[in-house]
Amino acid sequence: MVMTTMKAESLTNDLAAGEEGAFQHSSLGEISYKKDDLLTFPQGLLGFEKKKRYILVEREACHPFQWMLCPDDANVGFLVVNPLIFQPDYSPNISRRELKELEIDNPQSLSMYVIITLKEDFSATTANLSGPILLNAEKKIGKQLVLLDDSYSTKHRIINTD
Amino acid sequence: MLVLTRRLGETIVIGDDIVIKIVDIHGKQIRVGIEAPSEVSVYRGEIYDRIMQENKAAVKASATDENAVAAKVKKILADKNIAKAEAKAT
Repeated sequence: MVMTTMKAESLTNDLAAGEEGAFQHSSLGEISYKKDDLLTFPQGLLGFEKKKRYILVEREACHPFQWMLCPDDANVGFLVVNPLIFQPDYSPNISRRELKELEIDNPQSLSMYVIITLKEDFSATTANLSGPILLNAEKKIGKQLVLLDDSYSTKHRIINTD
Repeated sequence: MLVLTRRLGETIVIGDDIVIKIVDIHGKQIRVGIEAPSEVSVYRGEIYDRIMQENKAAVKASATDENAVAAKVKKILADKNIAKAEAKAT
């Protein structure tokens, strides 16, 4: 049987330790980053399987929302946010296998984000609660979790109209 | 697309290390067993499609001027429900 494990380090080898990189993004312009900032997604994201490297960019004007940009493609960027800011009881089922894939030994190093889909009318903006981003904040390894049950929606309206 | 006909208990082998087995057939439902290495993701097709489409829509929606995005975020955060929930989360 052929082993096809993907090691996270092999994807960041083109930058030496401490080195910096820069790239252009269609919305945010020139972004510079350090090798330590690089996040590796061994499986990319769904629909973006070849985009395996990302940088989380903070912009004060968007805080606490952040941008997750792909340094290899100026057109690939996601607006992400900690789902607890609008859904404090959000608790997706994360299996031990998923944690192992992310090499998480310490539960404190698990970060979670959801991808935001902005709408023309800001109040219709949705978050994908069915496909959250899990991140090992320490080892900088990430993946998009696909929830197997229907408890959460891919189009959860973050502003409730009640 | 390769189309194969299988009977109950028969398998399909993909590459070196993926095996699909017809485990049970019950009326219109077919139980399919999948053996694959842990780094290979296996999804129900309709769920994969849904999340993939939403990812693409999200990228498209934020591929706009940074200031326009910030303005929308500002309005979202001003909503009283978010402000309350944010306070609870932090």
